Formats: sequence, structure tokens, C-alpha cells
Amino acid sequence: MILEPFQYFSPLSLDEAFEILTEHHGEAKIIAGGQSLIPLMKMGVEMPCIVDIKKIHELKTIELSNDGSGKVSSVRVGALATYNEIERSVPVRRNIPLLAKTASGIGHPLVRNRGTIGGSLSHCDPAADLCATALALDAQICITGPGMKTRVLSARDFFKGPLETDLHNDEILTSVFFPVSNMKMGYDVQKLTLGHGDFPVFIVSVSLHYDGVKFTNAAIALGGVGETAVRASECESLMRGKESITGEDIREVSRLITDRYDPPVSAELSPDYTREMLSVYTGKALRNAVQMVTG
Amino acid sequence: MEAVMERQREKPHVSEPRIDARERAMGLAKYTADWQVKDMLYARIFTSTVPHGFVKGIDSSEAAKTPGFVDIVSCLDDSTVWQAGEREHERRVFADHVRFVGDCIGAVTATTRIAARKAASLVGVQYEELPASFTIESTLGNSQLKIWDNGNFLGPLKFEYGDSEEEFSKSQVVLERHYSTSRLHNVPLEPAISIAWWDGDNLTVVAATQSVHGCRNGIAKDLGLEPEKVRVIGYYKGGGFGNKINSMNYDLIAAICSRRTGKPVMVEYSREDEFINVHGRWSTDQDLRMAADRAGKINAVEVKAKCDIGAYTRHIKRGHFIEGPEHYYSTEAWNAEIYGVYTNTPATGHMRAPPGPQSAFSVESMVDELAHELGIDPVDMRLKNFIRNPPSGRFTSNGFEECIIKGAEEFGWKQRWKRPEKQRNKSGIATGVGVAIGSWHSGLGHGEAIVSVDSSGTLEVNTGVVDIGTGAKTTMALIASGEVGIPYADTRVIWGDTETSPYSVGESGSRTTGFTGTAVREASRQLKADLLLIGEKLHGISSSKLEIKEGNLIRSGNGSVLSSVRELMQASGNGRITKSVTTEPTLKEGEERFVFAAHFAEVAVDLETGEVKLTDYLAYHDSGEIVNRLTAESQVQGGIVMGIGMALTEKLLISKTDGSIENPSLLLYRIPNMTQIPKIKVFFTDTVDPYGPKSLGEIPIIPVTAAIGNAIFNATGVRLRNLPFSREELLGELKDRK
Amino acid sequence: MEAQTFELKFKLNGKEVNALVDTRETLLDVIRDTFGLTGAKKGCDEAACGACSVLFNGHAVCSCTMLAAEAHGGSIVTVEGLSVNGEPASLQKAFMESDALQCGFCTSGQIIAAASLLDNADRELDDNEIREGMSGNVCRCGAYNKILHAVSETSRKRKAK
Repeated sequence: MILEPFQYFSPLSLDEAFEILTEHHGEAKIIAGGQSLIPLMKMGVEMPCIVDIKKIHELKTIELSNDGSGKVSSVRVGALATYNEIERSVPVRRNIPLLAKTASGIGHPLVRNRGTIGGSLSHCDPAADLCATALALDAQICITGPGMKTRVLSARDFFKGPLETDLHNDEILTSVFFPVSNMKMGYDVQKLTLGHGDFPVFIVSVSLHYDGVKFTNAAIALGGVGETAVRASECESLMRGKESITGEDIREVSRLITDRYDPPVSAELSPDYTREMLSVYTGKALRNAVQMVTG
Repeated sequence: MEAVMERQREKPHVSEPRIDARERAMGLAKYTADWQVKDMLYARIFTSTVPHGFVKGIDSSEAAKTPGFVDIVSCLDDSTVWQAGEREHERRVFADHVRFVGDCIGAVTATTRIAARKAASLVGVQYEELPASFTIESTLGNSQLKIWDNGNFLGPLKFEYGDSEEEFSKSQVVLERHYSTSRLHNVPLEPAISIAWWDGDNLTVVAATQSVHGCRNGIAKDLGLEPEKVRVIGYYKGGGFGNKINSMNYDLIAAICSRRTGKPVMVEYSREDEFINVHGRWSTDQDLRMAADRAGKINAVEVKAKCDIGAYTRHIKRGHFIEGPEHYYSTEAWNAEIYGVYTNTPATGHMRAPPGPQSAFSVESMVDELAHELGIDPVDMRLKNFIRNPPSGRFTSNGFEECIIKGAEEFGWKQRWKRPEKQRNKSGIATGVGVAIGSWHSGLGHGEAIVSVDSSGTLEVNTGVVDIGTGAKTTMALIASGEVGIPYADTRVIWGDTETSPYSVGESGSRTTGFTGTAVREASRQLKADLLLIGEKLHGISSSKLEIKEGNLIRSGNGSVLSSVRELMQASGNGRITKSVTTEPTLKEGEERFVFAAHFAEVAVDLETGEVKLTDYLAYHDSGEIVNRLTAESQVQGGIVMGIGMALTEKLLISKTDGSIENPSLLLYRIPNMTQIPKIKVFFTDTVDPYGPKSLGEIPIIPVTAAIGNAIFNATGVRLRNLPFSREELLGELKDRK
Repeated sequence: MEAQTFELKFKLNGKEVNALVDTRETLLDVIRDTFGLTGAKKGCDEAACGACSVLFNGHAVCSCTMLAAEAHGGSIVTVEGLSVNGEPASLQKAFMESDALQCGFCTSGQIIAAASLLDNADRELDDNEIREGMSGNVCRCGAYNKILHAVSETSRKRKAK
């Protein structure tokens, strides 16, 4: 039950949205799918002005975008795309399968029919599924402000801290670009949860690119182990450029990750166990990803 | 006895959908929250923020300023005692001596839900704090502590037979182990709710109760009213599993607030309130000793248990916090010593077979340990020891052996069970199987029913059942339909209202079919006899040569249809024939009446993470004659699902600093969802009990945790002795072993 | 701040409806209290049980974790809206016949979640897809085996057509 009264606006265009945001400067909060915001409001967090952007239809599109030569260079996912829409989107499944897989594992279907990528990334919970995968996929966040001023920044620069992003009060996250690779891909996402559909204690998102000879790219993103989701760069460099990634390599990376990253605190699991699981789940994710590439 | 057996076995198995399936599947069934009552106000409780203390003052000035505020009532101006709230002590509806964080102090009434909640949050309470305890150890170790003036624990309850010391000293194998189970919550999906209004001195309560008559009698007693002045209505109830038995404090709060304001009042609990303010299952710490000879004969069992029963306990029989396994096995001696220990934590009480699963967990795990120690197949171990008759007396019927033998056959136990060290380990996943058995009482008692048939030939069954999901309405209809010979489709049920229906014991203690069902059967027999006499008069054929089948009067032997029941009724000139019956079945001297079960589980354990996945489950039950296979199977599956939660995920987390519940939310208290539940195969024996169908609702949860734990042991060689099973503990043990 | 209101218009079980609502009200509150459709239940009020499931533009959502105002201009179908001429739909019949319900409190939500799952599937679903697809709807009575059966039978029959 929400106890505190609030104003509710439902602009039909970005322009209209920016007018409201400017007028209610500092007090306005954007609602997308509401799966994080509404629980906060029920907990008594005061939000005097709610701006519902779901009537702004241009924010819903998922589409391929081409570079100059007509080649598909990225998939643009509108901020309002729900987890379910992402999971089922053909362009996403075909070109960014890790994103589809991540979206399909968030919470349960009732949440996936409502939660949006824009909402999840701007909420910026350090353990959120999509934050880790956006990092692993080198996503570019597209932000629009008053006067339709648009800026694009990498997910890494966008995430600032727990529940804190680079987004200003009068700006809206409008879409997310995921670069498309024509290399062979290996990927997986693994997470520790306390129950099916629970929010992750931590999450490991892995993306590998293989050009037929060597691994040209290896990305490991971890959620839940720090202030924001992070890329385990020092581990990635151990794999990048290699012709093969062996079981020993994977064990080495998993070990390194447990040394470097603090396991999150959980009421029901000891830090030792969680730390060990970070290594186990990293190993599982890497094994599965390598398997996809090398068969 | 023989004749009865023949007659029963001829009957085909009945398997019918619920009589109210349509209402439930179409969203038409009206639960308490679905009632729309004119001019209704909403009451919201406010509760203690300290674990133990006296309320010294209440400041309602801020609350009263809330728009929509109507009234506040608290322990300072109402001292009603909720007698069903605590068996051994006096528990007030509004506590002036608060005993846990969340103990109810008062309630605010307002015109809207939001206003009531807002106003309640603004009430200020001053306390004089007292020393508090949140664990069994600190309660027993603190002489300054006074949760209750006459002592902080109940017991010991001692239960013994045979010469324990003698048996232990002469037995070749003696094991000693410690087991523990956690505090749990019933989590009915419908949170607590009640609506009350007064018409002069007459009170009407729409209660989400498991028993309309129990609720009425409790309210009447607590409010000093004649039971006839109280009407309780409870048509649909979203589960209860024991935590909505008889009158609840929120029923009393609704009545009190309504009397004060002169308007109908709804008291509605949030999910959090439900977790904190309605009782769950107590936890146990159990030390067991078991003695056996080399051949596997169990000679003696000793159980010493201490149970955390919270600040209040609604348990019915004094001290029976561990109970049951003395009726699984025939041993020379049994010796139990049980304490219920109060703590400054939320209340405990009934939850599906209240002490059953805690008790079965320890004993059935230990029997498995003993079997392993002796190198005996766990099924053989049970077959060597299961109870054939109680120590002094005899069972009215006993299908235990059939449950174990046939269950093992259906499960393919002989092919699937291998010694732990021989289990397969495929790509980091170890699989294993486990067995556990259990029994539970099956009482008989006072039943009332009115069964009638009208001129259209429609059969009407009127009983005071509630049907919280057990299928009681359907069961009553099928008993009547089967006895009279009128089709189930032409049978209707009147239920759930003390004004219109005769007394029923309520859906608790697995009693409805045995108590109220017996009355329905008797009334139906009498009704049928009347119909046959009408037939005799009409057709000039002796009633002994007549039968009623499918709504028609037929001639025995050749089966020719003489007339329909409708025609019989019209010929009789009666608009309706009604049989109102009270039954009081009692057991003969020395008889005990029990139900029995054997459960079989298969698990897959991830050896890297310790995660346990249940992959297969089979249950074989003796509950006597099964009135309706379809709903009986559902009830067994349901009990098993709840047991799976108890085994793998469920636990109330109690704060070490103030005894409050840290996870009063379905996001954090994890009941099973569909992904965790394998196919559950259910079988029933054809056991015939001379007193009719036996109990069913509670026994299915009893063997589950041990069956799963025993399967985990079989898969990994690791014995887990604490519930819920922890993946972390399992992984730790696996690593120690390497 | 004073309570704020919102002029809400949406399609409820195929009919255009409107109401002046308090912005704090959830969709669940409004369909139950304002429109008197009580099939959807409040089991947890935090999107953890699924008893409040309704179809929003064809997909099952928790109406407890959606502001009523968010439904403006959309289409809501509750369990009451599934029946055909006052008779249960084939999915509801499958629930009745399979005994996929006990206390019935979660049933409306289960049926809505199943409708969403089946309506949005382009092929017959296997057991594990159904388990995952129904995982947001808990049933404390434990009718899962029977619910699985009802949904799986309906899926099979639909694809056989």
C-alpha cells in the first residue's frame, strides 16, 4: 500500500516529458516498468511527482541499426522494451543472444512482462542482471535531455554507484545500443540466487568472440561484487588473443576472480561459501561459453 | 468385518472434480476480502516495537489528525482475553505486557485502508522494557527473565514404555545424534482478515476461518455472549493449514472496533502482518539415541527435545511438541522427554500435523543412519520394524506393510537403490534415492448433518464445513450421493454459516471426513431407507428388494428401473424429506485408529555448489476407503509440496538482537514454486477400516523431509541433520570428505 | 500533500470503463474496489505470489505492482473476462477437471498466467517451459502437478487444432 500522495504525469512525447521534469526539478521521478520503483513507494520512500514515460512510443522500439556501409552494426533497444520483449525479439536473439538469455532469466514471467531495460539500468542495482550483461556487451547508453540534447556513453561510464548513474534529474535514458559482432560467439550468464526467480546475490555474464583462429574478445562482467557491476579486465586479458581456452585457464581465471572481488553479504550464506561460489559460477559460465565456440 | 470388506471392495473408485470447481476457476467464489459491506470502516493494528516490556503510555494525538481517522482502541481501554490465543496462560487481544516485536497493542479505525494504516503508523507507545530472550538457551539460562510469571517453559512432557536403560545396555548397536528443525510459517495465500458488524446485541462475523462453529464459540466466550448471539460466516477460505483454527484475535478486533464505532469493520492483515501476527510452526532441538541388534531390530528409542515455542503457543495438548514416531515402530522401549521453551519471538501453534514432520525428520533420519551402520537396505530396515499393533491394544486397520512393500515396488526401489559409495556421479551431479515412513492419528468424534431430497429429486447436504481447500464440501456431497444413490451432479451442498448449518468440527486435525462425514453417511442411509419405503408402497415390492442407483429406484437383481427419485417424491406427497442426524462414533476398548504412509524420493545434487534438486517422488498411503481419489491425490501432493519447502527452502529468520522476524515477506521466506516440484505419484491401499474413511489431510507432510534427507545421503554419503538442508553445509561436508 | 486524483480510462474485460482514482491506488485496488471484480486477489502486495495476475495488453502482470493510472488507455482482462457467455473457457475447464485448484485463492492468478503463457506461445509447450512460465504464481496448497497437467493438456489441444 502506498501511503504518501503523489502527482502522476503521463507525457505522450519526450518534449512534454522534459517540460514536466523541468517544472518539477529535483522532485520528479521517472517510472518505466515500476518493478523497483513501486516497491520503494510502498516502503514509504516519498516520491511527490511520478512521470510515467510509457506512453512515449518511440522508446519501445527494438531495431537493427546499420553503419554507413549498410552492415548491421548494432541493435538499438528502446528504454521501454520489457524483459519479455527482449527475450522474444528476433533481432536480439539472432545478434545479441546473451542479452536474450539474460532477460529470460530475470525474476519470473510476471516481472518480465513489466520490467524494462531502461528502468533496470537507470535503477542501477549493483547485482541487477541487465547491468552486468550491458557491461559484458559494451553497451552504449543513449540519454536525452531538454531541447532533445542527446549524449551517448558507455555502460561503464553510466554506472556510478549503488542506485546511482550519470543520468541527470532532467534527462531520460532513451535507448541502449548493443554492438553486433560477426565473429563466432560464446556466451553464458550464471548467477547465485537464494531461490528460483530471486534477485541475484551475484551474477557473472560472459561474452567471447572467436575469429576462427583465436579469441579476439573476452568479456567477463560481474554484478553484486562491488558498488556497481564491473568488468574483470585483468582476467579478460588472460584469455584475449588466445587460440584456445583450456580448463586450466578457466580455473586460473576463476581463482583470480575470487582473489580480487569481495563476495556480497547475504543473510543466509556465509562469505566463504559465496566467495567460493563466485569462482564456481564463473567457471561454469566460462566453460559453457568456450564450449559454444569450440564445440 | 469380512462382510464389510467385501461390500467396500466392490465399490468402484470415485474420482470427481470439486463441487465448487467452477466458482473457484471463474473467480466467482467470494472470499472474505471480496465482501462489499455498506458503510464499512477499516481497522489497522499497531504493535510492539520492543521484544519485552510493559506499555506505559499511548500517544494518539498525531494519529487522530489523519484525515479519515475514526477511533483508536488499545490495551489501556480494552482488556478482552483471547482464550484460544495461548493455552497455558492468559493472552489479551491488546497486550499491556508485550512479549515480542509485533505483539498487538491496539487498533486504529478509519474510513479508508490508507487512512487506517497511516494513522496506525503515527501512534506513539511508551514502554518499560524488560529483559528478553530470543533463543532456547538464553531462556533456560536467564533466571531474571520473566516471559511468564509462573515459568518460562512447559514440560517436561514424559512419554515412556518399556525398560529403556536395560534395552540400551544390552543392544549391540547404539547411535546418538542431534537434529534440528527451524521455525516455519503456514503462509496461507489469503492473509488474515475478518469483517464484523453488530445488530443490537447480535454479532455477525465474516471470518476467514477453518471452523465457523469453533470461531463462533471462541468469540462468544471471549466477548461474554451467548453463542446464539454470534453468527459466523465462512464460505471460502484461502488456505490455513492450522493457523486459522477457531477464533482468531483479528476476529475479536473486528468485533471490538465495530462495537465501538457502530459500523461494520474490516481488519485486514498485510502479508507482513500475517507472518508476524499469526502463528507458525515451532522449531526443535532434538537429541536422539537409538539401540538395535545386529540383525536390524530396533530395541529402544530415546528422544530429548527442546522446542522454541515463541512468546505464545496455541498448541492444544500440553507439551506434545514432539509426537508421532512412537506409532511408526514396534520397539521394546520408548522414552521421550520434551520441553516447550518460551522466547520473546512471535507465536507458534498449529501447522499441518503440528509436531509430525519435526518428529519424523529426526526419527526417520536416524533409522536410515542405523540401517547404513548395519549394512541393511533402508526399506528392509523399515519392514523389520514397522508397527503392526500399538504396545497395548490393536489398530482398527493397518495398511503400513502394503504401503512400504508396494511403494518400493512402484518406485523401483530395488533397481534404483545402491549403497551410497556406488552412486553414479555424472558430470558433477550425484543422484540418490531415499525412503521414509510415517503414521498419524485418525480420530472419530461428534458429527452433525442434515441431508434431504426435494420434489425435483435434488439431494441436499447441509453441514457446517468450511472447505479451506481440502475438498470437504465435495467429500460430503460424494458420501451422500454414494449412499443415497442420487447422482453427484444432482447433489448440492449448504455450508459455512452457523446460522444455516449444523455444527462441524472444522477443517483441522484431519477430522472432517471422520467426524462430520460419519453423520452425513448416517443421515444419507436413513434418507435412502425412507425412499425405499415410499418405493415399496408405490410398487408393492418389498423395500429389501429395491435399490436406488443413478437417481432411479430399481429392482434388485434384474436392475429394471421402476421410477425416478423425483417420481417417488411426487408420489409421496412430500415437498422434501429431511434427515437430521448426530453421530458420536467411539472406538472399542483397546482400539487405536491410525493412517500410514511410505514415501520415496530421488534427488540430484550439484557437487560443485551443493544445490539439491528433487527429481522424483512417490507416496503410498493407507487412509482407508478414499471417498474421492482426485481430491485425495491433490491433498497428498499438497502436503508433500509443503514438506519439500520445509526440507529445502523454508525458514523464519529470527533476529538475534530483538527476536523479530527478519524475512516477513514472500520474497524472502521461500515457499516452493512450480520449478521445484517434480512429478509426485500417489497411490492408496485398499485398506478397509470398520469405522469408514480414515484421516488424510496431515499425514502427507510427515515423512517428506526425512525421505529427501535420506536421498541426499544416498547420493553423496553426507548426512544432513538440520532443516532446512543447507547447500552450504552439504558442500562443506563433501569437501571435508575429499 | 493532499491526495491526488487521476481520470482513468481503460478497457476492462472488453468494455471501456472510466473512474476517478487516487494516484496511490494500485490497479488491483481499483479493479477490486471500484469495479467490483474480485477474482484477482491480494496475496502479498509485492509481486511475489501472482494471485493478483491480470492480462495487461495480452500479457500477465502483477496488478498489485502497477499503479492504476498506468493502465490508462490499455486493455485489462481479469479472470472474470475469460469466460465465454458465462461458461468457463476451455482453460478454466481444464483446471476444474484436473483438480488444478484447492483453496482457490491463487487460482485466478494461475489461470491468467497460464492464459498469457499459452496465448503467447507459437507451439506446444513442454513441462519445463510450463514450469518456468508459471513460476511467478505460487500455490501454497501445492496443486502444482495438477496445474501443470491442466496447462499442458490445454497446450496440446490448442496445437492439435
